[in-house]
Amino acid sequence: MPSSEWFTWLLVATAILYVGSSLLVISGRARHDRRCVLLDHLATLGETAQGGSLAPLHHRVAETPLDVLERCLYEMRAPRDVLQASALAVKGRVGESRLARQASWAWSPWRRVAAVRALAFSNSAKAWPILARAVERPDRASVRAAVVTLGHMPQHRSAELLVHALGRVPFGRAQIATFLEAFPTDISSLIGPLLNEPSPVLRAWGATLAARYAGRSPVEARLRALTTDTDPLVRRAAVTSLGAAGCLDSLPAIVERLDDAVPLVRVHAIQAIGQLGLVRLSPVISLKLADRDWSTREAAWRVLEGFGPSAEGDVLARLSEDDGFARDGAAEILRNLGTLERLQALEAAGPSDPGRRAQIDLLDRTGDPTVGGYALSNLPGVWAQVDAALERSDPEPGEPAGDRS
Amino acid sequence: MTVSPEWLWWVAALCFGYLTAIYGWSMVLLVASIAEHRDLMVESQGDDDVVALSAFTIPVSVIAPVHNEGDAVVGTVQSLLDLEYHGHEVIVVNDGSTDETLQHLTTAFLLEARTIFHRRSLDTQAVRGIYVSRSHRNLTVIDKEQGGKADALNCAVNLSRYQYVCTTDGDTIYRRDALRKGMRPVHQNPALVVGVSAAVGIHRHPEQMARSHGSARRIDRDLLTNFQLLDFLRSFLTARLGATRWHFMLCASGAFAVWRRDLVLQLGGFSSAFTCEDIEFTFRAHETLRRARVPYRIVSLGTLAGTTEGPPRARDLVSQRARWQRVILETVWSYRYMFLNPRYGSVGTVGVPHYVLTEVLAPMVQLLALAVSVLAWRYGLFDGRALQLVLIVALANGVLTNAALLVHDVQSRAYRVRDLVRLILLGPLDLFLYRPLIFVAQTKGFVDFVRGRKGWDKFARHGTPAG
Repeated sequence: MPSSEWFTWLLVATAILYVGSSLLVISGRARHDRRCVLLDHLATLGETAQGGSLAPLHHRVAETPLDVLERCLYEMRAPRDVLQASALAVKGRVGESRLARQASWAWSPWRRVAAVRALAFSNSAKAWPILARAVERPDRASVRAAVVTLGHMPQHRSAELLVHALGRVPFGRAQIATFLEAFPTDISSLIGPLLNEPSPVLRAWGATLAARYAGRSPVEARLRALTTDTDPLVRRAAVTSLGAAGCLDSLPAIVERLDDAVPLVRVHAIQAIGQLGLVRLSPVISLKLADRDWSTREAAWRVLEGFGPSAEGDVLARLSEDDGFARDGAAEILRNLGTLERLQALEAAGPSDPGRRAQIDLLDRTGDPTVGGYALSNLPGVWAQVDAALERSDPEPGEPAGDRS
Repeated sequence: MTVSPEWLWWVAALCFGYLTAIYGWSMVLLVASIAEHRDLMVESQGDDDVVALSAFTIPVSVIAPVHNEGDAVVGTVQSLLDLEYHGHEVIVVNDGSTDETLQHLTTAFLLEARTIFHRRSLDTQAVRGIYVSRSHRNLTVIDKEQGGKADALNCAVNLSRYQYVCTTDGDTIYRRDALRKGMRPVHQNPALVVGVSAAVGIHRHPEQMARSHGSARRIDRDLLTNFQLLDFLRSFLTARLGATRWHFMLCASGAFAVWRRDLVLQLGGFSSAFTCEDIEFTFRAHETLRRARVPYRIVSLGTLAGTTEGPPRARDLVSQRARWQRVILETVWSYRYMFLNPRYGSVGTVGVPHYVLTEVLAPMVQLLALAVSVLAWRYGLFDGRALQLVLIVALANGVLTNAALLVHDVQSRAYRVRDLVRLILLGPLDLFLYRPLIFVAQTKGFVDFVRGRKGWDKFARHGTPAG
């Protein structure tokens, strides 16, 4: 067993570690709180100067310690005016050349990021080559920091680099696309070429981002062509964008995708029609209640329910389908729309209508009104039929559910 | 019986060696945790708002199983509906509550009965009814026969619409940015990340913590609650972050865990055969994906997703921790073939041994140490070294606690400075005031495991009702 002296030294060392770590926590927090007070004051000056003079803000920034300004640039939680003022102040104090060196060589990653942002938000020309190199780096942190910086710069060059990053970077493409989609200026000249990229991943992202410009006939024409692309993700993106942009001229192309070989594409074609609000296509959509793929049936179910009573007639027609899922999907839609109650109320109010009675009979065909011990509504027969059909057609556990997004 | 001092010294040396190994390993994990935390901080700055508002955000089905939560369930569900995330649905599963949980939900969220077209991919107890909210279009409530938390989760997975599911607890109040931060690793690498977990804080009144969102909060003044908070922070922020870095994070806490839905279905859902479903599911995910040699990541974040009410009394704490000990033993025993098995990579060679060393052996060695201490005192063998050792362990605990507090404070800035000081001072006292309870709990859990006992032993809530 070690000697008492050994234990004493170990005790002293541990005590020093404990006290040191305690001071680290408290001092770090005190520094942060001091920083927050200064940054809050800057943010207030930035907000009150909206549309007016920024002189008070610049004056206050000039008095703020350098490390606080660098932290502000790193965290990017301050308003845009404050970030710009901070960047100008940092550039003025540190110097452009030294900032460029710091952006590449500083030991601490947050100092590297702060230096890049100081150059970028102060409109320094030295920022562009650094950012262009950063998106080529193998480490994710540098790439992400560069992407976020570019996403907050409204210049066309930053969109160019973001599009380049979209093709170059194998991760976080959704976030790059987020910045591109929200870009404050027209970047259709950069998005258009993506639609002709050899890589299907880039074509798919291009088709997604082109939704913003799909109202223009060349873009719409290219998207329409992409609905027959060899890659299903590209086809999906194309129909989604055409639906989101309200491109009624491309409706035939979207409708063709309702019979696509890949369920994912069928699902999004249905959703695109739903987004276009084309109730007159409910006969076509209601046929998809009998689709061989579960996710397609579900998409049809949701869109038809979303169409509401306007689609009622077409959904009623599915009650006499041979396919159990189509029948039961239709019954569930009508139940949720309150169709049977409405028909029964109309019939009770008189005069009696043979057609209406036939529809009530269809909905009222089998079984007991209560299922599982509780009554959902006054739809006699449907529940037993629905449950029995679901029991018969329940898939084996573990079977894939299909894409639901 | 005559006890040889030499024999006692050897046993004491064994216990000391174990302690050294534990703290040494903890320090190694701490270094890895700090590195992981630093990378997370660098990667996460500057794009929260963009992601939150983006249409490219991957939608998530948030699942909340509840059982006899009373009116507190309304606060939990409201916090889930208030999550700042573009595209999420909330599925609450009322797992056979015998109180008025469903009535509270119906009243608060204007529920009406509906039939939802869904596929029962996972077998569960019978569903009694499905309700949608007229006030919140993205809220669905399932009323079912009681089957336990795992069964309730599986039921919700059947009904979930989206590619990712987020499991939560029915008694936790969640932060608005919880899902945004929880999905960040997925957005950064959707092809690789299959699971994300985050910690929850402890407070006797979780609703108070939720109301103070964005400002420095006052920690609970209750000592037991403080110690539980520190325990959580140490576990999540100094151990699991390090485990994430080295790809053996083996416990995605059920209080907040995001899973890829197809993985859940592939694995057959959550298992009701174990006392708790979360750790076993994580083990199973690792085991399956490692065996299939599929590249993947399961990560733990250094952020708090929400706040829950911890056991308010020592007796309740012992019951809870005994249950956790039991489930760890059940899981490690069930997956014992992974122990030191290189086929499972770092999970087998580091992760499972980590659990064996820190959880399985802990109660046995602690019992041994206690016996040695009693015998040493009985035979007058105590000297100053024993006291020094105790102080060293207490201070080492304080160092680990400070590391966890540093990571947590850098991330969240959640507490006032005076509360940080309080927590720092409590760190070394953990050994004297809190560890004995955990020791009792671990021993009880070990005995329960050997006896094959099951059961949840849920403690009664004493927190402020919602609203």
